[in-house]
Amino acid sequence: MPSYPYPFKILQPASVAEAAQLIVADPDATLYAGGTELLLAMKQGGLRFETLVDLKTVPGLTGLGVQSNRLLIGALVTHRAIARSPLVRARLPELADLESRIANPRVRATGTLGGNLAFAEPHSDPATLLMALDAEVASAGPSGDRVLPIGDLIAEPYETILERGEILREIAIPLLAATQRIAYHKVQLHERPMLGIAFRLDLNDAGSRVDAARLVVGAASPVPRRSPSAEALLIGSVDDLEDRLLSAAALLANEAELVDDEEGSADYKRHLIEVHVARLGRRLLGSEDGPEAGAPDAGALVRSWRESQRHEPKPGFRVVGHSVPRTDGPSKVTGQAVYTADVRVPGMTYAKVLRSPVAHARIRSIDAAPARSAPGVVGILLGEHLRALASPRYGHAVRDHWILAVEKVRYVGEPVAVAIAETEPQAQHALELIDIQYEELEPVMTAETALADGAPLIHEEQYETGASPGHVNLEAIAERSNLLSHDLLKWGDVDSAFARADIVVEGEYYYPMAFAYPLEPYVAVADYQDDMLTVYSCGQHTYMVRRDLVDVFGLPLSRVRVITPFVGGGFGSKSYTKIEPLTAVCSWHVRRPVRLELTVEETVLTTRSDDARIQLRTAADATGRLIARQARCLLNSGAYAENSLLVSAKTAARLVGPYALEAVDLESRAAYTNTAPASSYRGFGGFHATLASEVQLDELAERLGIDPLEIRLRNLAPPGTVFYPGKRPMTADAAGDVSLVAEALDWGTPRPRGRGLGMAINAIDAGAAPVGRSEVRVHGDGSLTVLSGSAELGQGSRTVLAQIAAEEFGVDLARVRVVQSDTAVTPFARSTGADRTTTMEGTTVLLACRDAKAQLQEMAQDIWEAPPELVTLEPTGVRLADTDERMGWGDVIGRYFRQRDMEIIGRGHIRPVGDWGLLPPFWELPLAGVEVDADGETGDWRLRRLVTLGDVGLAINPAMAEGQDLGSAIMGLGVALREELIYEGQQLLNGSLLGYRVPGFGDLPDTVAGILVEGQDGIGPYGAKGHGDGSLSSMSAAVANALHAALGVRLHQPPFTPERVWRALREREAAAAATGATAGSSGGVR
Amino acid sequence: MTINGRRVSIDADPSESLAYVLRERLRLTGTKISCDVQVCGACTVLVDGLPVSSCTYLAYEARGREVLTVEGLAHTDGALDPLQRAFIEDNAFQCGYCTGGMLLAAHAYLADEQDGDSGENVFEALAGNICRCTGYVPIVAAVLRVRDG
Ligand code: FES
Ligand code: FES
Repeated sequence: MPSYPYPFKILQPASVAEAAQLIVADPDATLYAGGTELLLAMKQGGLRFETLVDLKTVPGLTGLGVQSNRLLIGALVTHRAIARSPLVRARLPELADLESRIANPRVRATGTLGGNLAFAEPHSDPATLLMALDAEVASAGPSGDRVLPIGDLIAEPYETILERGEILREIAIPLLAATQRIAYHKVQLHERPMLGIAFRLDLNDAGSRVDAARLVVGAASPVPRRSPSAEALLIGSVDDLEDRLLSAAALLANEAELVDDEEGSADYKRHLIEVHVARLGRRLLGSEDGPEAGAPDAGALVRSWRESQRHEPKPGFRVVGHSVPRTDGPSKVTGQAVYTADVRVPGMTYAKVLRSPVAHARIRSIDAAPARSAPGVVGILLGEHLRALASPRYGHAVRDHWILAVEKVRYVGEPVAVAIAETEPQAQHALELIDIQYEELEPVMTAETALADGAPLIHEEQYETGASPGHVNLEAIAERSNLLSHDLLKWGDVDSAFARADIVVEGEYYYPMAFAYPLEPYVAVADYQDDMLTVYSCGQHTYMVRRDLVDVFGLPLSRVRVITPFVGGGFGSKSYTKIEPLTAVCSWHVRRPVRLELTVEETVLTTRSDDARIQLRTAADATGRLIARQARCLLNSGAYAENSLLVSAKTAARLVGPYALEAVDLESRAAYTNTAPASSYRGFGGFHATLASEVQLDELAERLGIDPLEIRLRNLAPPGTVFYPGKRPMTADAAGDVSLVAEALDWGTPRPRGRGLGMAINAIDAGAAPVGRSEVRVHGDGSLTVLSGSAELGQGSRTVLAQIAAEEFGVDLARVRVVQSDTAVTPFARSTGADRTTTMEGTTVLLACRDAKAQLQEMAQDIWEAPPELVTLEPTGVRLADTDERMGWGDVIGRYFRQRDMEIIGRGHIRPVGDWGLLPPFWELPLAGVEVDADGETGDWRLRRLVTLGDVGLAINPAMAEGQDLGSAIMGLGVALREELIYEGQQLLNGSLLGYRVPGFGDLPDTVAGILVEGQDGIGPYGAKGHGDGSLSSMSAAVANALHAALGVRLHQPPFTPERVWRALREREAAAAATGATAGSSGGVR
Repeated sequence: MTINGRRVSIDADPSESLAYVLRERLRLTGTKISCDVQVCGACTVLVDGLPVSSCTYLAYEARGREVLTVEGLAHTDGALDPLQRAFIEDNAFQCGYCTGGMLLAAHAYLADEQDGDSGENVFEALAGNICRCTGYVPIVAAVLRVRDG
């Protein structure tokens, strides 16, 4: 919600004394400085105040200077001002440095040091360093002025010892003498630091002896903690100081009250304290460099990217194959592009959703009467209202998804009631007046418990299949279990293949639940009037949304109009239907237009990705030739089916890989649980399977002593060969592709310990169903309108489709307009996903263009009264053979109709017959190669190099194609690094961006290379094939393989957090110790 | 306050965020809301040249100040700013939802660079802005294109 959930007022005192008075007088008032922490807590409902007393109007709190050898910083000086102050940078650079790394530039620009200290958020940096500096704070309050050591200020998390009305005025920091040295190190996994260590040494003049020391830990402890015993231990000669560092660190860790939390275990934090105290100590003694000197080289990164983008356009093309600028560029860089969130309809009302606080319960009663009469409320929608609908449930595969909970709730976050009001805050307010009583049932939180005997049933009812059931088998549900789907993919004789094998490797792999996080959260605007429904949707599948709405209301297709404006990212998470039925039912209920916009927290609760536990066995002969695979997969699919049936089926199918296996036995089961519904996410099944299949392939290679590259080259299915029975033969030169990636990584060049290369590949049956149509209107001036039902998600379809039309008609891109995704205007498109738009919609546009040109040719025959063979098509018009007589497209239309602005319409469609009948239309090979740099002590790692490859047949727009792949790889990197949704009991623990951190600028590798392979061997326009789910699927496996090369540890479960890498290292050491240490490194250098 | 060079007078409640005022009262919808917790940067606007998270930052704070939003980046004659042109040239966006905020964060960085050493490199200056589409490198490329001329 872009405004605050409740009103408050702001007072502007003119002095510290007045501020104090205002606070003392009003128990609902609080002090307001920068607001970065306070306002956030208020917005999130953690704190509630009626009055903010703005200290920024009080003069005298923003000083910054030196007095009596002390740095004096006014409480209201911002982090940014401190970080950039020439004075601080000269006199206390460690503080400037720390301040320049707090949160992000926006928080630094408004947040103040005094506010930070007074808020006492434990996961914070400044107090830790200030304690090691012996800083003091000066305050003024009702009982007078006082000066406190900073260590005394913070009493407990979010609590200082300041009394009510006592105001922090200034921070005083003694400047360091030449013999005093200080260093600070922080460790951060998510948005806030998990550990901070400040270390100070005061040496004697000769530098030979430590006279005093300060050792402070913060962020990992409830409040910053000094360890006097550790400090005492450090006093003495510097010669043997290094030997004492570890014991000091241990003392510090003991006193820190370390806890296990979502940032890491107490064990690991203790280990980090040991490592970093030793490193900081050596740094202070000058025997070790600080963290990598110099900033990462942005110039080199950009150069690597530009070099890989050098691209020779294919001869014979004018527009296609050229990296023309995106046609939506100007509107997107000026803020003019309209997304669903920007749509306003006259008379629009606002909806807010009340969500279930429990995972599994019967709804005993709902009292919404007080909410109905709350200010601004136009209606309260409850489950009981759904009875009047044609269907109270939706779902393209299984119609199991209750638009609003009826009788039962099935996960924390499930919509139970909706308030519709004139403004969003009014709707929010009304929710607080709805009283719901639940009778809790035993929740089922994991797939394993869901399928155990006697598990409580999540769905008691028998549901019907949806409009796009795919291969749905509802018998599982008929048996009344929590089994959502069960797939078994089998060919060949697996038992005999495994019996014959020279080697069998097996293991268990787990890919976690993740959140796609498109920046635009779910949002919809619906208007139900006169039995006609118009919905603005941010979904990828405009026409599937229409189908679900048609079924919900029992309206004809023609009476439901779904419009998808620009979409702010989809990544699969906006496939199928999300909040459109709920929004539409709200509008139907109140007969006013309704807008419903979810927060990111609500968006996570609406759709996450399935996790998958995969037990995999691979059989091979002694040369490393793969023979067979066997797998058992289990997915936690959440409370509703959504697309998890397909996710589960694809997880099994994508374990085949791009390899010709004699026999497979791949089973996958998906279970309903009382967690947020899972569904599609970019390349689903692909990333689940590739983790298992490609890590296991490296394990096999290692056991056989074969290079990981070599084992792939030996097994990759050659182009044109059938490797998956019943499917289209391999549509790419996979071995060639892998070799290109290896070359770009200097595969085979030895790396030092800590560095390692890894790669992974798969073959994804992309493209979904080959059906759809497009239309091209040729106008009387020869300009074109292309009508396509596909949506512009950012992937660039609007530009690509325009390029195809411009190429076909020989016109400039500026004369083409593409109109997309409006069911009342554009022709049917099945969906926008599975990398299908360029290949399939592109083909229909191409066919529509050719249809229009054929019509124009006929019209020209008529105009010239010439036989067909004498009228030929030229790039920009028609010609009468053997003459100089020519007509442009527009001339033909004008002369034929004798009406200048007449037009014709060309149509093109595809359907699943002939060449399009063999699935998949193309194989997409997600392929990524990485080099990692790993820290063998802490387990921390980062990417050095990233190489992606898109085997795209022909890139209609090469720069955009490469951009897709890079974006996909970095998205995949997120799960390898740290992304994972975590349930604790019934609750999702980290369903906001504060606890779920996606990759940022700081995670970029040193160099990137995007390779495009264009064999013009695709089924799409000019030999193109789809691409865009991209390398994501291979990233976790590639990183796991690289970490093995770097450190010799095998990881089977992303995210590969530093802690997990460290644990794996420890286990390996323990195992090596147990086997007598001669087992040798299983890692080796490659 | 002054918004994109135009003086406006708004009677807003103290509890209204700057984003709310921009989007709902002034219909300047180029400023987007995503995370709503000061992390993603989609809502970045500049107040007196400094980047703030308008999702959380109160409109109250902007009184008497100059606010720059993505709608105000292009020149008054409609010509795109070099940074906007570089974003198009380098494909520094796909869906465009992060783009307004990203442009303003980059704008602030470039202004700092012109003023001398800010102590922040380009990664640090943009670190608070999330893009899910591009993989970031094209954004860095666009910003360096303008910075290095
Ligand atoms: S919406 Fe303001 S920072 Fe994300
Ligand atoms: S362009 Fe989509 S989030 Fe950046």
